[in-house]
Amino acid sequence: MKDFSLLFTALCKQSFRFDRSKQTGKTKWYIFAVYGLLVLVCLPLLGLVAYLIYQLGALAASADAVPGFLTCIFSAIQLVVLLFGIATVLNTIYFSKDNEMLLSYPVKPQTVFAVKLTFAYVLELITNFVLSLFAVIPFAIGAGMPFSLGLVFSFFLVPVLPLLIATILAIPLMYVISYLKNKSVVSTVALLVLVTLLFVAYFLVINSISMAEESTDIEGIILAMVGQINAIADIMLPNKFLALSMVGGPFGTALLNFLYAFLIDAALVAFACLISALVYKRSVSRQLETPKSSAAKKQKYETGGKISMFIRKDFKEIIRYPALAFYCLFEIIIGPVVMLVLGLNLGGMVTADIEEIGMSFAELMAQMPHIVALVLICFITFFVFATNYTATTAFTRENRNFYILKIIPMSYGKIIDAKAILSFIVNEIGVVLMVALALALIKVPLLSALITLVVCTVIGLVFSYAQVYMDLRNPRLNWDNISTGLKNNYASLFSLLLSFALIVVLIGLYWLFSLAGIEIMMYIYFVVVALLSAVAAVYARKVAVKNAAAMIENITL
Amino acid sequence: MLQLENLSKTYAKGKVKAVDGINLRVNDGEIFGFLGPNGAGKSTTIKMMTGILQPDEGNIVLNGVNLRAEPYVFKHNIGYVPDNHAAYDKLTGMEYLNFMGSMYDVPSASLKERAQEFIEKFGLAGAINDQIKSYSHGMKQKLVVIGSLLHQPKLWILDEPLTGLDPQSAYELKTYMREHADNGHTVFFSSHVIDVVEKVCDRVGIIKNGKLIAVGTVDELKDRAGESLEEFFLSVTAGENIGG
Repeated sequence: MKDFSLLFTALCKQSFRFDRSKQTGKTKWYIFAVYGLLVLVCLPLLGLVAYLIYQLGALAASADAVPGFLTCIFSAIQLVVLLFGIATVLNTIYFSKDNEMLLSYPVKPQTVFAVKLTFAYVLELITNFVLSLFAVIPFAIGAGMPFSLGLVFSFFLVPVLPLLIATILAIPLMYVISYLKNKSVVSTVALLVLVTLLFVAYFLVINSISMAEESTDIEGIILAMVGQINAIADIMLPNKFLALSMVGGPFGTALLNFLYAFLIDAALVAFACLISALVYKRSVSRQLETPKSSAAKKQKYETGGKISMFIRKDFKEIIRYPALAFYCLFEIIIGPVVMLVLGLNLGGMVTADIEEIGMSFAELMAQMPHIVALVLICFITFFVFATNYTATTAFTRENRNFYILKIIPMSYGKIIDAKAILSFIVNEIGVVLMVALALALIKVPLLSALITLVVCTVIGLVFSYAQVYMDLRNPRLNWDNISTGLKNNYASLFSLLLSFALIVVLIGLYWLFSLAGIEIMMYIYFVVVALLSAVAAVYARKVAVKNAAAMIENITL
Repeated sequence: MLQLENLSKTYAKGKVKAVDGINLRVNDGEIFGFLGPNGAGKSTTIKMMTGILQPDEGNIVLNGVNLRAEPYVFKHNIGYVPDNHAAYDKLTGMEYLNFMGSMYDVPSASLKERAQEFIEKFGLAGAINDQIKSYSHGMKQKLVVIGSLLHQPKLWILDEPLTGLDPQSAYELKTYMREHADNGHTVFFSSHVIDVVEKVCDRVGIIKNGKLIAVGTVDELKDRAGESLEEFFLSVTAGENIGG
């Protein structure tokens, strides 16, 4: 226990302690501004989500299905925690750079594993708490649930399941990665495929609930949904018992249900710990083995332009580091997956006639390609540009090699260009994938697809330069795993804000142009948006390049 | 020729003088040893010479090129071996050399010729296609040394270059430092090992509390102390630990 508390305390201090060496005594105004604006933008959205969930609570109460709905809310939260937690678990437990040092200590590997697992649990608790605040509490109020201690305990019990699933999933993944020694690109692909599959599964489950039955009347839809929800709730036993312990009734029954939930989770914890601890030392040791190439390869000397060589270096660094690749390529997973699931669900509806208007959905879209393009552009802005970690970690991921940027005889402007071009390429892959899926599955008009492609290409440039510049303003260079590097990344917050702002501006401008009531104005609108974006891209590049020298030179490790 | 003119750097809003008005001239064809106790200002000076840190005052000039005025021309002419051997460890050794060659505009043919020579010399041929993360401490050091030499720098700056090298590689490195200087280039070399400095360097500078307190040939400094360079060093830095 002494070893556990010593190690756990050290790990917490290492991860959460404020970096005093960076303290200048003066907090930069724009950091407060970014946080403030983000709160202003996000609060109404979160408020809306909370209100919808509150309404769902009322609906569940009227349908007498509160435990089933609550179980599903817990499960949905767990899936989100799992999706975003698997990289945290891998980074914290298996890939962390301190593993080598910890294994050399006179401490049992099981203790090290327990410390890492607990630490990952603490990180997931935070995510779970935020999600619960905007989901479980509004639901409970909407459903008229009495306050119970189960609500408080749910904050601690809900993240247990995703943590265990992530820990178990990590074991085969670790073996794949160890097996593919020196082929970290394949490991990266394996991780990305796994995450993509999890995302697809997640959205399909959510959609299977919302699209439960093709009923025509509201009552039928609600009944079908309740049936679907109860079916899912029956499988998620720990969540079901936790939900039952919270919905009221005699104290003894509530306590018994809570104990069931607790004991099932405890048994699962014991099982996962047993398996993981058994393989922990071996799998971590295998990560630390230093593989050599078995066959002597031919030495290939090649030089190239500075920007292209820099981009190649940067890309190799990303793709050969699975955890970094997970973040940097996230945008080309999440957007297309959402589009894929949307397409699969809308697929049947696209060509079917809508009785009220006497035409099919595809025909309806063909009549207003500009609206379809606007929706696609907003979608891409949110799912692709806002999550472009290739840009928002442009300098952060240089880590302790940042000094190399200062000694190489390459102008800082070119470094900015190289970073922005790589980010732009990743953006563009996300854009093309999403447009292609929209064309193939939702049958959006070709004109809408072309407009989206052109406008998003220009907007992608603006985002790339702006995000790279924001990361340069405040890079986090001292990290041992990339999750730490991304903690409090201002460039990511800024990206979210910028994407919200852009969506508001795009819709506002569209409304202004539509006031003219002339069809051609809607196409002029896109030309104007593209031109304004091109000007913004040139301006963003100019600002970034102009300030690069002063900013890079002022950054010290 | 390298000139440091009134070079100064302060930390903590001017409260700590890390480097205090250093004036120094290092000639072409010379190996210059830079010694000092922990925290004396050696690393800060070297980081300013490589463009990693900005001096508060003063100039760094190499063959008439001022680092402040023409940073890219200046950087083209230096090679730097840091003390932490940090390199992009997800790249293979070969990719790292191709990257460094491209950054310093080394033509492909020259890159191949020079890289092959150094790879052989430092015994890295068997590992050059492996990722750098699999290298030992010494192998990383050798790779960084090779990367710093591909463009035949006029000024070669080495910060603790012998740490972690096996005896054969340490010998090769010392021999090459001599060869590089004999070709008319300048070698600026910081080390903890006074015996090596004594054997390898033409002139030596000692820094203490940010000030250059002694400069001269090894023989001149030895004469001032009586016997060895070590004795002289200990007498002028009395009470402070050597290193860092």
